[in-house]
Amino acid sequence: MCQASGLKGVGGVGVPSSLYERTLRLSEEEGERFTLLDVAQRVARCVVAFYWMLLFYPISFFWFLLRYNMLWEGNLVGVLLTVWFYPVLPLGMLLLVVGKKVIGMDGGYVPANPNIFFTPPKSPLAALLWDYYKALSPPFAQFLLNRGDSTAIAHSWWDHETHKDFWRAHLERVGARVPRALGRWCELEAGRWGVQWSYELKTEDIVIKVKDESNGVGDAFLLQGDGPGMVSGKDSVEAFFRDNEYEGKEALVLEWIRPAEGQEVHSFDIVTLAKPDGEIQLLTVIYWGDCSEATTTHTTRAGYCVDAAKEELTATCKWYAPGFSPMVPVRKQYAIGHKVPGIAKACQLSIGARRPCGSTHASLARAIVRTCAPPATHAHRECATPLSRRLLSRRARSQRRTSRR
Amino acid sequence: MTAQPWLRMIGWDCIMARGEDAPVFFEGNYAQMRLPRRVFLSWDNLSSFLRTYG
Repeated sequence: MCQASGLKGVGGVGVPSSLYERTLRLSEEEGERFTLLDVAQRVARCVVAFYWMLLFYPISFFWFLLRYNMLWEGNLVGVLLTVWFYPVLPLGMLLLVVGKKVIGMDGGYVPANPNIFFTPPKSPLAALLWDYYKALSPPFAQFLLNRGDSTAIAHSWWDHETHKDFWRAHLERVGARVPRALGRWCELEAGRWGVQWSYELKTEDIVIKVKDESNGVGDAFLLQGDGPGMVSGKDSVEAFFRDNEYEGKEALVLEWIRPAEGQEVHSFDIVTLAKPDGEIQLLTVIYWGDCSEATTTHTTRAGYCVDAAKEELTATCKWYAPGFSPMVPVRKQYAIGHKVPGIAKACQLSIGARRPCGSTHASLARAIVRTCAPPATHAHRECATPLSRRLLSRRARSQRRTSRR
Repeated sequence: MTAQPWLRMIGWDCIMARGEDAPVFFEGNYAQMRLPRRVFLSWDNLSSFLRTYG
């Protein structure tokens, strides 16, 4: 542990053999990425992992792959792919990816609004291998951590339990600040949709987020005013929902959070891991900045690895996606060496939010609440008694299958 | 998260926000798509994941 950094309780930090330290060091020594050799090596690691799991978990791995492939490729293709090719599944998946390319389908996962995260490598062969890697790696990594958990498989497709209310409730539980919920677009009565306001909207700019979507799908960023694309008051927000076909999709109306003084538009991506013994560890902290639009970091053009103990950007993360491999710092003040005070606290809160309620680590969570909770403003009290908690307890959610995200 | 033991990997999105003395969290995500980039990044990482979870 790195006692001096304020990172007490954050597993992995300061432990040389931890995945956090290994990945951070790898980033700091980073060479050229997304060459043919680099992508081929990532594919090779997937194949090694496949045979490792085939060897040690031959039956449960098969059962997992059958269900995963049926979900992602459809019943017929999923069954044929898994049953026919199981001992040589990487070969079967290569044929599938190439076959999709030949008939004009995208071989990999691409969202509705592609961005830098989905830009392929420049070389056509590396691009094909990258699509192949994107088909192989998610199921293998998922089985490695979760074995054949059915709910986990379902959530690889659609976040029916872990939607925005779920995360907000867990974050609030440990005293983390979340954007104020100003209202909720929902079915007020059978067949009638409208906004259930929990705040008297005045001149606030707002953000709309669909409850169970990700990758920015359904997001809207609305300034208050009379200009085009702006809203002025509750009625125009409701009109926005109706005009943009949100009916049938529950959505949150949130306050628009802006970056602190001295920071550009940015976000942090903190990945935590639960180890088999129950310890929660930090894996990576990545900073997304240099955004081409002020509304969303989905338009980022620069990614950096953050040393959470130093609270500083210490390396590029060209390894993350091909679009970042040629990255050169545009805004040097927000590049390597840039200080990000508060990220240690963010890591503590992330670890605390992942721990189960009432766990033996509850004392840490309480300590985090004491040390990290913002002043009990009206806004925060409002967040602490949310509709989201009631919704969290409503477990009877439909198991519908949506279009691929 | 007792009811979600499968949530072993989570990606948390936050910002250092104006007027706040603590980070503001947008949400968490089941990191099923984020994790593989770390697992298969190097032989060292893969070996470590296999030893821990394999």
